[in-house]
Amino acid sequence: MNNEQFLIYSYFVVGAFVMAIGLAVYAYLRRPFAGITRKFRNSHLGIILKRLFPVGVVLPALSGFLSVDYQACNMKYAKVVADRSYLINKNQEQIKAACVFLMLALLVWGVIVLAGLAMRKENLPYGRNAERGPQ
Amino acid sequence: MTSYNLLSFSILLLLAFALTAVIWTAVSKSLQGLLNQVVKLPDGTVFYLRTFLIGLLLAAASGGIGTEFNLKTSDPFMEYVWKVASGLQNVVLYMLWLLLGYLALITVLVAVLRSRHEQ
Repeated sequence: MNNEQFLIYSYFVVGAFVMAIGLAVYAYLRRPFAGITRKFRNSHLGIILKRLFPVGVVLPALSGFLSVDYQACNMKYAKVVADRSYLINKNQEQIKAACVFLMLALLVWGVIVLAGLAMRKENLPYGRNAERGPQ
Repeated sequence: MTSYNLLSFSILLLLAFALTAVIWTAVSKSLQGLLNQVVKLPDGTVFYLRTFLIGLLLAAASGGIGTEFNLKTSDPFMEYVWKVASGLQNVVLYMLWLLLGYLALITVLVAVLRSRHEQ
């Protein structure tokens, strides 16, 4: 396999790998997140967040992957392709950037869930009364 | 990547994930107890615990994978050791940032939800 073929192959394989990481993280967190959104006071907000969650997990991973520039410092295509170790380093950089972006996205989702938990039904006086039923 | 570089890279990843396992084992039980006490919603506890575990794994992966191993076969042994050490430093740095962010998040969570429960 020459370097150009390696570049094409590795770019798409790493892209698919990064997407798979994003989807795996979404699949792992989907159920508890859906359970939390069910408890939100505003059900529309819960539905919106539930639908945005996959996007908000997969897109940061993808944007981390896309943020890596192969032609940094005005490198020409021929120079990029010339060095195999440069291509491998760029692949590593793409995975690293995807992981970092995903980590930051999870922290942001943690803050969003926190806001939702603070406003959930059980925390409101009428919510508590409604749960106890008429006395 | 030469076989020595590959071996060093594997050792670095192994150390990074071992560090993740150590932190997870040390913290997970008490974190679960705290979350159960404060969040009072099983799904909330599971979400924050899983977020923490994923965050640790991502920090280990990004620190480890981000390290470039392009040493020559003829390079001395200590060059490989220093490379692994430099990678491990990245892993620890990412983990520290994650722990800092997560700690801030959990502190706010405890403060907000506890005051809500007391009302």
